[in-house]
Amino acid sequence: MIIRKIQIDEFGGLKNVCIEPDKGINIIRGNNESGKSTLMAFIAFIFYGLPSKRSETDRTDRERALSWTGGKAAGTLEIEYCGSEYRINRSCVLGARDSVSEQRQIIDLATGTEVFEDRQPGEVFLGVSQAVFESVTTVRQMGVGRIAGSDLGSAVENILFSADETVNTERALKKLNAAKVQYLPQRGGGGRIEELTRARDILKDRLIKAETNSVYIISLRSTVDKYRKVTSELRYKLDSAKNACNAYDSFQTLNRFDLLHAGEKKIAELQSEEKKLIEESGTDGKLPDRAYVEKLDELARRLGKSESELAVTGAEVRGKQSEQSGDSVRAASAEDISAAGGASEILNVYRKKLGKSGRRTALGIIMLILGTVGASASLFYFVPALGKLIPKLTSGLSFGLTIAGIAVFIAGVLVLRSAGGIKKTASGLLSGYGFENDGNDRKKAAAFADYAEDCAREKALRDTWKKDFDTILTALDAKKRETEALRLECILELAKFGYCKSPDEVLNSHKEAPEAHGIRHRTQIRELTDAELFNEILGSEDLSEKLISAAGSASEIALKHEKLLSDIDKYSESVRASRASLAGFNEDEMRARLSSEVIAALKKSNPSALRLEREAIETQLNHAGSKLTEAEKNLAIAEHTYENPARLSTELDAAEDELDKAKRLCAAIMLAHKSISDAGDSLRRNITPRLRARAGEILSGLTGGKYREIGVDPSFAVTVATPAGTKQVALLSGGTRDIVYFSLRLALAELIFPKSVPPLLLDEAASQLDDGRAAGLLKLLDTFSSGGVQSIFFSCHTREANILERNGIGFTLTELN
Amino acid sequence: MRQALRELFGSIMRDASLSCDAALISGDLFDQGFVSPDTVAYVKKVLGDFGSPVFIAPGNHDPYNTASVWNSGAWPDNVHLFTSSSLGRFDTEIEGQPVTVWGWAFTSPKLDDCPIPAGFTAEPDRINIICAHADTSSVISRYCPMPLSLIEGSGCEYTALGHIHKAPEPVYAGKTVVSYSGFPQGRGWDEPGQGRVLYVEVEKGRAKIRIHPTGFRRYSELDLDITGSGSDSETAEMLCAAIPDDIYPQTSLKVYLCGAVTPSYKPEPGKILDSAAVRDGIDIVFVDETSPVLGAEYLESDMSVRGELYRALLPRLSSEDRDERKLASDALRIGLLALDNKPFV
Repeated sequence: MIIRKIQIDEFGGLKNVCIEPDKGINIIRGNNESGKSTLMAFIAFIFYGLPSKRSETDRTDRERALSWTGGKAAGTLEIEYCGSEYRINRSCVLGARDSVSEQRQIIDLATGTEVFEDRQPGEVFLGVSQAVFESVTTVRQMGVGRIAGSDLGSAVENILFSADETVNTERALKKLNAAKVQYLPQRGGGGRIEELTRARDILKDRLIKAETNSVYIISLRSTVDKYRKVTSELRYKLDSAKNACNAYDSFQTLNRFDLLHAGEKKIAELQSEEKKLIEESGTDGKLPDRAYVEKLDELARRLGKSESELAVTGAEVRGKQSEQSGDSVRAASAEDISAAGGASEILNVYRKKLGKSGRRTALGIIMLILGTVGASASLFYFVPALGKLIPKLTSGLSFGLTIAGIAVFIAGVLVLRSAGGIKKTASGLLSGYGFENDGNDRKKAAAFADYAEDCAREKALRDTWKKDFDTILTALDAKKRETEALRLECILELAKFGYCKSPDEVLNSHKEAPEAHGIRHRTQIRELTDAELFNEILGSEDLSEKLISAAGSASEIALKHEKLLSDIDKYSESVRASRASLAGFNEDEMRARLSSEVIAALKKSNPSALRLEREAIETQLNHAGSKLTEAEKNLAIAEHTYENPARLSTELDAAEDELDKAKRLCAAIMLAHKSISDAGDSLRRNITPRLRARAGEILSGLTGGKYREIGVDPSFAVTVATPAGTKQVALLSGGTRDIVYFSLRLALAELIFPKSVPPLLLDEAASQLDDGRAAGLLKLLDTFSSGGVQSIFFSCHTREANILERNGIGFTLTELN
Repeated sequence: MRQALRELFGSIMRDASLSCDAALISGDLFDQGFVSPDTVAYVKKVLGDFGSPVFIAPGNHDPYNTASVWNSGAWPDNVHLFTSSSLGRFDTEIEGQPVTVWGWAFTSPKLDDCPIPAGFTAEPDRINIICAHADTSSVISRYCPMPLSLIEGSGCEYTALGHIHKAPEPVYAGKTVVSYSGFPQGRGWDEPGQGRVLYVEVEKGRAKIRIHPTGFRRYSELDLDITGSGSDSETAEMLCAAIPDDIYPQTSLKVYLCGAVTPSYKPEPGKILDSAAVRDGIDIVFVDETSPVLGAEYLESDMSVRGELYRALLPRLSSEDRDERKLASDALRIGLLALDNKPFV
């Protein structure tokens, strides 16, 4: 294919540009931003139209293509193709909402008619996609850069194995494999699919668990509801049963209150009875009691006993009296004697007195004598003659002696008197017993001793009798006194409760009504003797009988009173106990609460049955309660771990979707990998040999046979057969690599465009080359052009033109302003 | 969505309580084996609040058994539940008229035989209604196949059926009106269109059906040919143009993208929706069934590995099997992107 004319009406920044390239080498020179790239894009535009908006690059290219001023891209390309000439018109106008309206035509210049209607020019004349066209026919700066470096190998390899410089099959396969391994590792575990499968399975398990748990929770809730209902019903029943029991208890309590009140009433009655009894039978508010009765009984017994004993004692006295023994006179004498100290003592005293009397008599006599003598001394005084007889006898002395003699005489008289007294006394001692003083003291003494002894004996007898008699008498007296006292005591005791009058009553009655008692004057009122008293009180009644009678009556009263008191105590105790037990109860409230109908019904109730029923309900309630608690506990545990199955189901669906997507993607990657691998194999089997062979031909032609074949070694490195052997392309010189590269490009173009190879479009292809290599490149282009391949070289330099000129290579130069 | 379904059920029953003397639920009230406890409690309350008799025939998705939701404790007193797979009946009185409701329960996900015996005759002095989950479309159905001939001579006034979600038109079986209630609210694209319940006036010898629309959302499908589209924005334009103006405001729309696009274009649902001016309430999901063969005539004659790839996948790209075509389309896209050293995942 040869481009004959490029007519740009409007395209990007170019307007009304017309270029008529030659069929060989064409240099289109322009400064930067003069539109060289735009020109290249225009050629692609004519063949393929505006790029779509599908990628950013395409959008950019699209915007670049549309005229900056009018929003239009339009122009014409005239080409020579397979011996015919065609004009391709294309016009795109930017419309609303970024839409583009397009018109295109392919005009057969020979006939002037439109041909290939509704077909893309690219499809008609090139038969490849725009991408392929550009990658095969366009050599840009980057492509040039690669030639200089080691990437030439990659480019050549790509061409050989992919028939596309830009496509590296191995790289693509590696990328696909790497992607596939991420999803599905070949060995071992792991990978995205396994991850997603595991996640899905976990969700499935959780869902199953959640479903089971949900069913379980529903079941538990129903169990909880059931037991709540049951417990509620049982509580209601229990309340009713409790109310019934409470009502019955209240009824029982009211009964107890009734009993309490009955007890109180009874107590009142008994107390009234007691009061009446006291009033009737009591004294000073007291009634005879058991002790009183016992007292009366005891008194009666004692009185009886006492009177009996008194009688006995009286009889004893009388008996004793009749048994009187012993000479009372002698006994009396014996007493006297005894009083005097006893016969011995009397005799002793008698003797002593006699003796004393005798001594005194003697003394008295002596004294008389002396006294007389002494007194006679006075004679000496008064008779001085006599005085002289005794010279020593002085007057004083004689006086003294006189006095003394007188005194002594007197004393002697006294003594004699005393002796006489004593004797008299001594005689008197015995004379009292009939022993007169007859001068025989000794005999008298002996007789007295006998007498005393005799008296003593009589006395002893009498004493003994007396003693006995006295004892009996004493006893009788005592008994009398005792009996009297006892009688008094009995009277007093009887009088306590009015069984007889009391002594005070009698006295008072005397005082109050003396006339009734024959007392005429108050002064005659006196204390009565016991006998009088007893007579007045008892009259003809026998005290013992009185006592017995009184005891009987008192016993009756006491028993009655005791019974009353006992009953009162009993009832009081009962009432106390009832009050204590009923302390917390409000009787009025209870009576108000229990109507008569209720009470009537309760009377027919069986408390045991009520209690049994309540206990049964309590047992059921406890059982249901523990079941409820257990169910609530299990429900709380289950709800705590509950996962919503609906949510999990949604998550599971999403996980399944993601897994499915991943599997599909992995399957697509694997299919792409296999397909590309197969495609690569197919290419290597079919295209690569042809490509190598043709490229080898072109290479040989270009190098004068120096380099003949392009090959691929076992490591898929591209090689070239040289006279020195096979060498890898990377090891060749830059110029040789250029030739190899372009040979492959041309061979590829011939393969891809079997009918007519389109022009090579070189965009600043030599900008990175030195003059030598640039010249080499241009020479290659010249060689290609001799084979009918048009090349259009876009450059901002003049170097390429100069090189061509210097080398005498024909070319067409177009300046872009 | 499930919350909305629950509330819809409540709303339906509340509306019905204003004018209906009874409710017939012919199965699959619960669509899954598991039901959340809250849902059960809610349904019980709603049915209880309805007040009037509710007759329920458990279906294949909610069969009656010991582990089923129907056994989750007591149901309100006005709920009458069929619990046996044999023909059962509930006798009641509605507005002074004696009514018998016949029915049965699925006790497992399958019921191979219909419990209605041949020659079945209903109570002549009563209004007879059948409430059941059954399949009238196939005599070999495993979901209680019920030929209409079984009830032709029954004398029943009305047969309320469940199981077929896309309810066919009511039919007569003898003098008995037979109708499927359909679904009150679609839950997916297999239940497209308007949801409904049936209000049925039943008298002795007569039944009249009135469709009562329900539902808050509709499911709909749309085939969208995006041949030639090279970008998501172009596709979005095509989508907006294809959506009818009178589309129901709350619609879940499944859009099948079909047609030929260039191999380098893979529709991105998110980007399409971002570019599309779609009304609020319209939810769109895409199913990509495009074929990446637009411009593929170049690939067909492409000598490079691209062309080889295309030619290798071409048989699958033209397969009758949708999945095969999708796999080949994806493989072609991925392969071309990999060859171009562009990201493909």
